[in-house]
Amino acid sequence: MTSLIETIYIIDDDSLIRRALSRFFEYEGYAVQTFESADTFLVFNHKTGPGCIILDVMMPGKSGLELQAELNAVSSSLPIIFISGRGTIPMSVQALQGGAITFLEKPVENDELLRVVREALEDHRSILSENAEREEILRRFHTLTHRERQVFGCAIQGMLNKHIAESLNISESTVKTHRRRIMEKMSANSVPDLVRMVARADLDNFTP
Amino acid sequence: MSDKSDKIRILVIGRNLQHQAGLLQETDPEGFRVRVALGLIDALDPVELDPPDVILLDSTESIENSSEILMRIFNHYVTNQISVHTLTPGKENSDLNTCVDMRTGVNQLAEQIKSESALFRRIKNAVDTKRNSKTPPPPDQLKIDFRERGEYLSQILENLSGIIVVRDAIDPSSVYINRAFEKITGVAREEYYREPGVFLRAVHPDDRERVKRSWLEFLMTGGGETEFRFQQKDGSVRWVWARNAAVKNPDGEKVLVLTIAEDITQRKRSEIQLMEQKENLEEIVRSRTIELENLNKSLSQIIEKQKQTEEELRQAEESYRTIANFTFDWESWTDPDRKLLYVSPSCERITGYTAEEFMDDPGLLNRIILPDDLPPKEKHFQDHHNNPGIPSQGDLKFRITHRKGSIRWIEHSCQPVTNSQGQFLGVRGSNRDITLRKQIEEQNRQHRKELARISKETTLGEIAATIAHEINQPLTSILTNAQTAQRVLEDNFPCCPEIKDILSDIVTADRRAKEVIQRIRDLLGPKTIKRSRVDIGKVIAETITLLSSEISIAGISVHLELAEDLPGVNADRIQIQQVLVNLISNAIDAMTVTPVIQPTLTVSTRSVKTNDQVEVIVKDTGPGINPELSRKIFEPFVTTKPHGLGLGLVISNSIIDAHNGRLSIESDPGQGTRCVFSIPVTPEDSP
Repeated sequence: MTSLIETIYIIDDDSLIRRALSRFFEYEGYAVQTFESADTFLVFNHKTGPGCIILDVMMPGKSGLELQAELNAVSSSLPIIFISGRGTIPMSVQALQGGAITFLEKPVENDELLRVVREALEDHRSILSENAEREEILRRFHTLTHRERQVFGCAIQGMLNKHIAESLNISESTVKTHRRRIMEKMSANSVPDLVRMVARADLDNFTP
Repeated sequence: MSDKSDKIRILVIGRNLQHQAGLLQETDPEGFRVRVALGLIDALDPVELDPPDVILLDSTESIENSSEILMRIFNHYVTNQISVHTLTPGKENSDLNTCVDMRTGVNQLAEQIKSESALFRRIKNAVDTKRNSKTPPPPDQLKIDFRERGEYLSQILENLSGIIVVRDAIDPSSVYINRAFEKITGVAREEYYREPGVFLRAVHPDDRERVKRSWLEFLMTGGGETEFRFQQKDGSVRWVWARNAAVKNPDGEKVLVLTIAEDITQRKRSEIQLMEQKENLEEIVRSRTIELENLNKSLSQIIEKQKQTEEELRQAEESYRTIANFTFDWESWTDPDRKLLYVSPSCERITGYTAEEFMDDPGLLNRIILPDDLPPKEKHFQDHHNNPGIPSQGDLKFRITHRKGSIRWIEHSCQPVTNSQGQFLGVRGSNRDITLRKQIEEQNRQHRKELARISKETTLGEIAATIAHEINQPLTSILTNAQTAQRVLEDNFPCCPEIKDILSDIVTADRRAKEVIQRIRDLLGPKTIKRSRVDIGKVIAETITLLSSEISIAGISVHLELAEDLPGVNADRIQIQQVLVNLISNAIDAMTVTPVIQPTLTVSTRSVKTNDQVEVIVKDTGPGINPELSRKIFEPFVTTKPHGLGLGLVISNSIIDAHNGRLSIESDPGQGTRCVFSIPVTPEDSP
């Protein structure tokens, strides 16, 4: 689990708003990065740590909604909170369909904004930890040999050693050896542990 | 004119008429002396040696082959005023049904003459008329009922540059010729009245044959025209273009016979000059073939051009003649007491009522005028009769109910008529049917109304949204700052109540401002989109119609390149029309403010299959937008127009945005501007 400091990315073409928001969030103890346009944010190589975006909708150049679409296209995990001074219902619908945390009308109450920012960061932190866990499981899975993966696949379906030996045409003792090696490599204590890992890492469709 | 005997000398020409000749002689042996010539050749001697009073001519006698003889007979007809009648003998001797008075060319005898006695009466009348008219007519020859309206007519006729000869169709000896005759022929009118033969004698000797031929043609067919020369006593020559026409009254009876001869000397001269030029040129070309070939070509072009000019001139003359013969507008003449003297037949075309009905029923006009329009019309008529002197040029417009029930708009012009002493004789009025013009005006008005409505609907909403945005921005920073300050204060300086109150008030005021703006937005904000399947090509065509007057005033040519079988788009028709109105108006303005050569507006559509959208492109050939302005073209209140609000593109952009489409503008300074917007296809039309 990463413990990097949480960063709030504020994207708004109005410098007074950028300053006011960054003043507030810095006081609340967050790291803040401000951008005057969608493009300046895109060229900025932002950190991989937990964070969230506070995004204005109407801006010269790319709009907030267009930025959202581009970030979705590159599978960015950063949660987005939209703020708009002239939002419309279709706009907010589009934003939420695109996965935004929420869509707030300007001016925004500090407490409200803080609440949704915390929510967003919480989300992002769990996304990041899930991602980290998934990557770890995948890393371990990739250390298995071809035969071990075959045995792995049979084991998580609840097959007995005898049946595994029959279907793979190997001896039962060899199956036992493979199982022990699998448990070691995957750091698992039991078959249910293995099943849980498969679910976490979306290994459902792994090919033995 | 031999008048030795009291007997009427009748020459019957044609073997088929022998029976009629015998009958004539029997009918009145004392009064008639009838001679028969079996053919045209046989008729020549009697005509020239002993001119008869009346000629009866078998109309089946071949005219073409005997034109020479006819011409000679005709000569006598002109000089001796012989009355010539043609008969077509039928199978039965009494079947005399076609009888044209050659002298006037009028069909007055063409009515069915059932009995020979009727024919004889006719002949007698013709002879009597001729005898009575032997005394030279008074100088003011026009005996026709022109006296009353003649003041008007003769004023016009007298001043025409062409020769006008007006003959009464019933009484051909009643004749009028205008002053132009004197100018063109050098012969006094009195001479003509005394002796009509001077007309022919004034014609250039080489052209007399042609003149006679054309007169004959007119008598036979009722049409025909000719160009010929008058030769004045001093030898100078005037070319004229002459035409004969019969003027009919509304019942189809011929009333007047008109001869119109326009002076075309000027044109002829340049024609002759041109001919000479061309001949000279050809001579030169012949001697110096190659190097002059190009010159010849260019000169031929010049000649062609000049000929074109002549043709135009000729056409202008033609239209002038048409005007002289026939008035299109509904003309009326009233005397100083507002009594109607004359109404032109064209009143029937405009009102459905005939001239007679107007003449017989003085109240008719006022009855067909719409009650609302009557008082101004009455006032106008009263003013112009009581205080004559000021002509009116379409000042008065009123509506009438056509006989068939439709409403017609009339534009009335009038001018006072005075005689040479300046005495007021009445008013000449001219009523023009301007219904079509009014309808077009009304359509334009409706279009404008719709245009204004469409643009108002969204402009207000856009202003509200724009103000909301512009004010919400500072409100946002105020609120955030105030609340941050409250937090900082609370944490670090809890003992400062005044500042705490101040910040609290700022926050409250900010929230109130936000509410006010929210209310304005709710009230005026953008209306919800009423989506339906919209045929974008149709909307484009409608918009072009809506703006057609602006387009034509600016002299812009429009190219529509609309893709066929374009899918319908899912859109609010009115809002999309508003976008088109904005973009097209911008294009028109761009090409109007800075004049461009051949201003062209192109509107095209295409289907973008990859993302199920329809693309509309509005392109102008205006000066383009400078790059600095181009960057902030979608910001509110940015405009290039002196009186523009700077919202057109903002509104268009937000409409297209709300339709999940995209609007973009490309402009190369000096190359024009290209606006492109896309709208998603309706679900039912997408594959």
